[in-house]
Amino acid sequence: MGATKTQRVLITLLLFVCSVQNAFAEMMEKGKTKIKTLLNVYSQSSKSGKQVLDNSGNEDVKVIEPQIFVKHQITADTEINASFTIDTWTAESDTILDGNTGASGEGKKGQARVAPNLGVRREVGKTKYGMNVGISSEYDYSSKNISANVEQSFAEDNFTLGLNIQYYADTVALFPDITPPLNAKIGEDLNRDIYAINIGASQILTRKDIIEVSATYANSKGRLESTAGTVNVNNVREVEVLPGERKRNAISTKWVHAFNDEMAMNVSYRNYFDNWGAHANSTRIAFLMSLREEQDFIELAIRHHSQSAVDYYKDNFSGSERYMTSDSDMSKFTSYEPSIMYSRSLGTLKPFGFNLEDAEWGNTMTYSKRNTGLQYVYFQTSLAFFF
Amino acid sequence: MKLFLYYGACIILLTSCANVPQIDRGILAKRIMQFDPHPEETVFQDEVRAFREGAIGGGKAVGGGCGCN
Repeated sequence: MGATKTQRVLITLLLFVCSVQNAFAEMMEKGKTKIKTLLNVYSQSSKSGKQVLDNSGNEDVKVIEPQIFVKHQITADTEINASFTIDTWTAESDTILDGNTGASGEGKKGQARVAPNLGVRREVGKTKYGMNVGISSEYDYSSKNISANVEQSFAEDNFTLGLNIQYYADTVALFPDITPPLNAKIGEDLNRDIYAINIGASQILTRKDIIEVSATYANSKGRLESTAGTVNVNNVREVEVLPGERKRNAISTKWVHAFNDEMAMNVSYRNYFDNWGAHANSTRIAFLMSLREEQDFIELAIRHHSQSAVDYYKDNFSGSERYMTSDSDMSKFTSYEPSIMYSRSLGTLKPFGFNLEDAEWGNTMTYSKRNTGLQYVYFQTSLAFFF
Repeated sequence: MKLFLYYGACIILLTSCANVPQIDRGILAKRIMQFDPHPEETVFQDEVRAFREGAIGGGKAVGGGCGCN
């Protein structure tokens, strides 16, 4: 299913009044600082990736991503925030196209992506607005990005409207010629621009129910191929070729319902479609519990995702076509993703004489399995505190 | 057309609700009632989904900022 341009414009106008913002996201006390460290460990395994150069299908990858988030309340109504991310991963070689590329195998070690982000958020009356800037850098990809958001609450904060805009000025380096692969050299940086707009609304329905609806439109322009993505054309590997523009649309809803003071259900649904012919439905249901007078927090969730392939996807090509991809992430598949989160309040910590208040230790485990064979699991552990 | 009907219904539904007074929002202010009770963890989760699935939306990641192939 695809919406016409007119439909998208009308949807945008209709929902301009609307962003999925948290109606209860309160500012901290003046002078207060929150720090959260988070370690993400991701492991993926698959032998079904048709884009992999050596026909092994090997899409195994491991990622270790430490992150730190800092928020500081500089005045009663203004907060500054920052985050810093470092990725290291095992897959993909560096500048050489060989059997270990295509998001597969044991590529060169020691690669890293560094991504700092800085933002400010202000609250004036019933209006909250904020802005973030960020950069990201890795050997075959770079990004400079900026986002802005505004949120307005109405009807004694029962109804909240918002708008969020993001722009990414990215570059990607590709292998222009892979014949033969071992002699291929990575090319110069090519532009990829992405802008996205998200509009939405949240409404308190009852003392135990709150709902939100949102719509997202994202436009990507420039070189949208993956660095090491290849296709099999009559048993000869050629580089992936994709159109220079992708228009992506998503509508989503979320409903949170409390069963009692300590247990709630969070149900969400997203419908996605784009001009490459992909259509996806994602549904997630989570049960949330607080225990020991909100000292412990548990979330059990299951997510189902199904998508159709993009028009340009084939496992193998019998001849060269204008656009060709065998990227498994753009193929038809269905996946299930159970997850569990547990966080525990540690109270006040006093390491080396520092007074760290409201410390919390959190752990999340997420597993996803596709009907195509690809599966991944990731573990997240965090420590948050205030001072 | 279905989208217009869907969003038209949403707007009517959302704007026609009776207000819940501030004093009755005790449960709504709890963590279990937040749309996203763990926003920092969600950053990575959104990123994984944005790059491992053809679809984006419904979260902050929109497919930019990372080579994450």
